[in-house]
This record gives sequence, C-alpha cells and structure tokens, in this order.
Amino acid sequence: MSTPTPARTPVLEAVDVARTFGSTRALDGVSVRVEPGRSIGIVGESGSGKSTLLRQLLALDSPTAGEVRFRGQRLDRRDRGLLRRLRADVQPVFQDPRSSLDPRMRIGAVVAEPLRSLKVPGDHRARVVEVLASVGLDPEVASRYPAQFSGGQRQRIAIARALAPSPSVLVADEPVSALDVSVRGQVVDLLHGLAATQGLTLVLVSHDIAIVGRLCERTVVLHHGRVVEEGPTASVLADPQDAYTRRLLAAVPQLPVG
Amino acid sequence: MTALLSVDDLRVETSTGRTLLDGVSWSLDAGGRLGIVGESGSGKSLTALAVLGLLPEGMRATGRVLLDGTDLLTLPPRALGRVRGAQVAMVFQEPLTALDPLMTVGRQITGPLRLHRGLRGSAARDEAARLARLVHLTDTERILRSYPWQLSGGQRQRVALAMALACEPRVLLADEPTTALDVTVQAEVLDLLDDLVDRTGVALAFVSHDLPVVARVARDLVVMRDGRVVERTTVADALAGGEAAYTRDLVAAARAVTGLPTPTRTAPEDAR
Repeated sequence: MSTPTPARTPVLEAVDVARTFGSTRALDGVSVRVEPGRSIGIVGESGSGKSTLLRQLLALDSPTAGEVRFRGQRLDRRDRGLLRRLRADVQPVFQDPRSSLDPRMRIGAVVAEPLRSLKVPGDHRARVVEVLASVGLDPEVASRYPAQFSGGQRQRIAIARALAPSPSVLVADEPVSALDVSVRGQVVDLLHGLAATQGLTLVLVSHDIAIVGRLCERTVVLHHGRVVEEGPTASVLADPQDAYTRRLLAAVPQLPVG
Repeated sequence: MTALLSVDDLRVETSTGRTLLDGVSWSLDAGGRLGIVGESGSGKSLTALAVLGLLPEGMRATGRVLLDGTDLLTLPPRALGRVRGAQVAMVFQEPLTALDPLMTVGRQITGPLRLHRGLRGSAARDEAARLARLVHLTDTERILRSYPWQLSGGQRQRVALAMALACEPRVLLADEPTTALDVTVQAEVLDLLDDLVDRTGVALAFVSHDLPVVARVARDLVVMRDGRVVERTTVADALAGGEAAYTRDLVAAARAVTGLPTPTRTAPEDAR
C-alpha cells in the first residue's frame, strides 16, 4: 500500500458539500478526494445520497453549501470554459446501456458523438475503431444498431463512447447492475484493465460493495447523506470501523464455500 | 414423499408458434424449498406465470401443472381463481404492482380474508394484525392505516407477503421478491422468508437471477437457460460443482462477482 502523496491535486474533489431539497438533506457535509490515476468507489443504499453526489461531481447540479473542485478549480455552472474542460476530461458511464444508447443511431455515430459535441479535432472514424478495439469489439460493429447487441456488448459500446474523447476520468454509475451475472465479471474485468493500462481515474458509484471491492483501491461509504467510512478498500472490507458498513457487509448474500 | 406441486413437460408457445418454454419439469414437496435460477430470457418468470395461469394474452401452455393431483392447466378460470391466492400465493419483485394505491394496507390484507376465508369485521381486523406481526411489521396499527406509498420498499414487500399468506396457502411462489430492495433490507426479507417457511410449513418456490440469494433460502435447485431446464439438483450439489457446465459457470460467475474479495469478516458467523 502506498502512502498518499500530499502534493497531488485531486482531479475531482468534493469539499464539505451539502445539497438540500426542501427540508431533505440529501448530502450533508460530504468531502471526497478523487486522486489522479486511482480508483475510488462510492457505496450506498437508496437514500444514501450517492446519486446526488454523482451529479455534483459531473457538474449536473450545484451544491447548496461547500464546493466541488475540478483540478483544483471551483466548479461553477456559469464558468463555460471550465465546464467544457470537465466534460472532455470526465466521462460518465450509466447503468442501463439500453436507455443510454440512442436506438436510431449506428454504433459508429454513437461512439463518435462526444467527439462531435466536444469538437475534438482529428480523424473521428479512426478514433472510433481504436476505442471499439480497446473494449474488445470488432470495427465492423460501427455500422450496426444498438438493438443488435446484448446487454454486455451494449455496456462495452457505452464505455467505448466514454473513452472516445480520451478522458482521464471515468465516472461509472452502477455499470454492471443491469447485466446478467455471467457478463458482469467481463465488464468488471474490462473496466479494471482499462484503468490499469490507460492510467484512467475511476469513480464507481454503486449499491454493491462487492463490485466496488473488485474494482476500487479506495472505498467511501455513504449513509443518509454523510460519509460514514472511508479508506483503502481492503481495510474497509476486512476491518470496517462503522456499524453501518458492518451491516452492509454482513448483508451481502455470499455463496458458502462449496 | 409425493410432490405437492409438479410441473411436467411444460411448454409455452406464442401465437406465432415460437417456443418460449420447452419441456420444463420440476416438483416441489410439501414444506419444500425450491430455487429456480436463470439469467434474463431463461424462462424462469414465465414458468411461474404459467403455473399460476397468468400467461400474457396470446401465449399457450401445454403439459401439466399438478397441484395435489389436479391439473391447473385444465381448470376453468373460476376454479383456477379459487386456487390462486388460496392455495398457491405469489409475491413479485415490485410489491407496488400487487398493492392497490387507493386502498389502505389494512383493507388490502382483509380483502382476501373476506373473499377466501369469510372473515368479517373485527375477526378480519384481528387476523390482519396477526398477519402483520407474522411478517415482522412493527407499529402494526399505523401501517394497517397507511397507503402503500407511505411505506418503505421493505415494508411494502412485507405487506405483500402478509397478503400472500392471508389464506394459509400451501405454496408460495416468489419471483425476485428481494431484487428491488436495498441489500440490508434484502437480508431482512430473506431471513423473514426463511422463518415463514419454517413456521407455517408453506412450500416455497423462489425464482431469481441471483444465485447467492437463491442459495440463501432454497434447498433444491432448478437451473434454467433459454426456456429449458439445464439441471435439476440441490443447492449444495450445485455449489460443490454441478453436473452441467452451465451450472458450474453460473456458480463461478456468482463467486467471482458477488463474492467479497476478502474472506475476512468481522461480522458474526451467523450473518450467513
């Protein structure tokens, strides 16, 4: 285990972030540091605030108190220049590839879409072939439509699209929860491999502490809008300090060793 | 032991002749615990619907579904309606689909008591309160006066279970009953199901894509894929290495993905 290097500016950082909706405190003083080139998992059940935090990190919503920083700069939804850099550098992958891929667009156009909207210069077609290869798909899939693919393949396509503008951060929201068990492992392995070989920073938001355990070096546990536990994943799993984390771990259905 | 419920060479076809279930057979003994596991498209939920005579319009079932020797597939709709709920009850993934949003929970639980057991007035109310306690609902008075939307997901599933058990059915068919729940709530509902089977002697058929969840409550196991039964076995045998390659793949995938990477656990051993 490496000790944290103090001088590194986090790629993304939530500093004492609160978000209230009326009288509901969805986030209540949440601080999270996303270190460059590292993987961090944010675990929580429904109502924990994990989706609200995700929206903050993607600048899809603004905090009611505290701030979110991108490479050290405070995110302000009116700062167009900073938002553009964030959109190019931080790419989301969502839970259900069925609804996040436009059914009327061919795969080639789906994957090239962020290149177009972010006005990335260069040969888009070549980049599409490149990222499809990096997720283990043949270049000929570019001419087909999303409906022709299985759930696992669609999630690979969604990951290829996220990779197209060469982001340094992937923010994945329950990326395998909608998939069959037999393909979950493959998508987890793919994300793991991409993070390792391309030096990607990975932020994984999930209700599933086991998936976070597979993928992330650090784990943050959210409960009722607060961080109840944070640390290296291995120690969070092996020696949870918070009572809620212990309850969460004990609740994971496990196959007895056969 | 003779089977309480047995499915024998069940086939389901669409009106265009496409085969969705192909020769599905299994049986459930009185007080038994059967898990039916499969991935999406395996036909596991369709099997449950066919057993209950609830197939979508345009689908046709052939074969036999024997409840105590009576073939449910040949029963006229009214007779089947008396079996459904009274002898074979069901719970689904989303309890809101089973609950009427405009009716208090108390009235929904007393509904089947009136219909199938002829209970009225305070007798029905007392029985509803007993059922609410049976499914470990706390603050029963308040919950019986509530509407479904005022309850949490776990409470709703407990209410759905109370309704399912209202007529003391002999078989409880549960289709992904904990899939929509948070993992800590899922653990509580699985404990509850376990306990209900022990206490009431109801036979449980538990359908899920999630093998570790199935393994938690079932003893016997049916593995399905593409509308067929791949293997009929027990949970213990499947975990020790099933006969069919697909069963072994499912077990391996479940271990790889849902197994926690670190075996050390500070939680007490009984957290199983």
